[in-house]
Amino acid sequence: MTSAQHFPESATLCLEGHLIDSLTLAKVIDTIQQLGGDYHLNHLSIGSRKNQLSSVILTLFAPDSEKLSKILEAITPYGAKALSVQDAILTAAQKNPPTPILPFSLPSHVRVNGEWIPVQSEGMEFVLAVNPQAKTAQLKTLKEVQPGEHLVEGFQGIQWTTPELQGTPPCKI
Amino acid sequence: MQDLTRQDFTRFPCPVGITPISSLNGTPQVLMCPPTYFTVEYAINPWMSTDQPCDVELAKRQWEDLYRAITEKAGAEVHLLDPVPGLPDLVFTANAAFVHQNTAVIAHYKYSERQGEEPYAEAWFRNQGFRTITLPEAIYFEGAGDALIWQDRVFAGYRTRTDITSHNLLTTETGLPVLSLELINPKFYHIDVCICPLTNGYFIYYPDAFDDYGKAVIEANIPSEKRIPVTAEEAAQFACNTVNINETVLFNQGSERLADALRTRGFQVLQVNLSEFIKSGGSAKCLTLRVG
Repeated sequence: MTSAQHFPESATLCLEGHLIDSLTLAKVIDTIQQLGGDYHLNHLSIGSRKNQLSSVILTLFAPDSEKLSKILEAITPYGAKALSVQDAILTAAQKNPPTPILPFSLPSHVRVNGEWIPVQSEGMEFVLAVNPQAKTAQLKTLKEVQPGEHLVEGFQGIQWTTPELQGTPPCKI
Repeated sequence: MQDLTRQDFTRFPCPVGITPISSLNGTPQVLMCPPTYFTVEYAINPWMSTDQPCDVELAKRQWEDLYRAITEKAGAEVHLLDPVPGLPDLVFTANAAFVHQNTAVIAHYKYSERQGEEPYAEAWFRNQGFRTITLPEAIYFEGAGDALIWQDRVFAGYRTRTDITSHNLLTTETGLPVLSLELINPKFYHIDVCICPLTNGYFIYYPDAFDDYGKAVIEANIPSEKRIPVTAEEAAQFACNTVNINETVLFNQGSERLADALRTRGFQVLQVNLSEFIKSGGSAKCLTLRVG
């Protein structure tokens, strides 16, 4: 059984701030679980220095809409904001594609026979390309993007599980 | 005074030709506001009651005692913010802004009763040569009442008055790391009534103003030999609301155990009766703001 099977209600949230040193992320996660919900961490970026902010995207699951509202109310003071209530923002790809909107961590070096070899990863950042007419969406590398394609900007309107897919595990990145 | 309308995330650069206070000689610089219009005419914290008005004449004498202690005994230079009729809490200058070097992040108060103070604070800092930053309408932040620097980091309170999202702005505008602490006790509604960073890394605090997460953050950052916890009784006497200037500390009368603890650590302890301001939920530190 998965979180989505137990908990049909969900919302995608973002948090940005001093999440680690201040134990804010721990507090949010504990609050979700204490109030009977569950979560899946979709994206985590930890500031590499103490004066850099960290950010998190997580999907919150709850057994019913009332519990979902209660949990949202409880974690809002910690800076959690719901993301998935509006349509995604689409922009047309230009000849020079914009900064990637889904930056995945890629390895920079690989060690072979005691030597670190740099990984050629230019153009391997991912973006989300959407065809609204065909109702299809595809993760692409920047190299694969064609001019005029619709790219998703930011995290608004993105969910890591969809209502139609309830009952399947949240995707693992 | 013109154009005092608050704008969202406005950053005013330093005016040309003004020497910022932060660039003055090594004398500590403090901002205070005379209690000309101070009274308790509304209740926005558990200490305030309109049924228990303060003695305004006694309050003026107490403020003058504090002023004299700061200038004559602690050796600081005090700048005065002009009092404004109808803004009784302008006297609590600690809330006006968070100041770091030449940057002042101006307060945006949660309660409308105090929002009228914001443009006066912004104008003062701008006229003194500070780069000033104001917050968006939807984000509340109550200045050095909720953000205090200890060593190289900021301990910042949230929930009762200040929104946690304002802490991100403190970091982006000052470069300082921030530790966000939830304030769980309505009586200790600002972080400057439950912690006080001191010279040489000492740190007065009232542990029960924080939840287990907050206590863990404090214990992880402040070495045990530097932490000076106060009792519930001392906290209620505003022992944490302490002014610290070099090796001198000033706080409300009472809290003799704390006074002894500070003397044994090399501090000169000065105590001033601030009973009338406590009726408004403030004490020594609330009446001052370190600006240089």
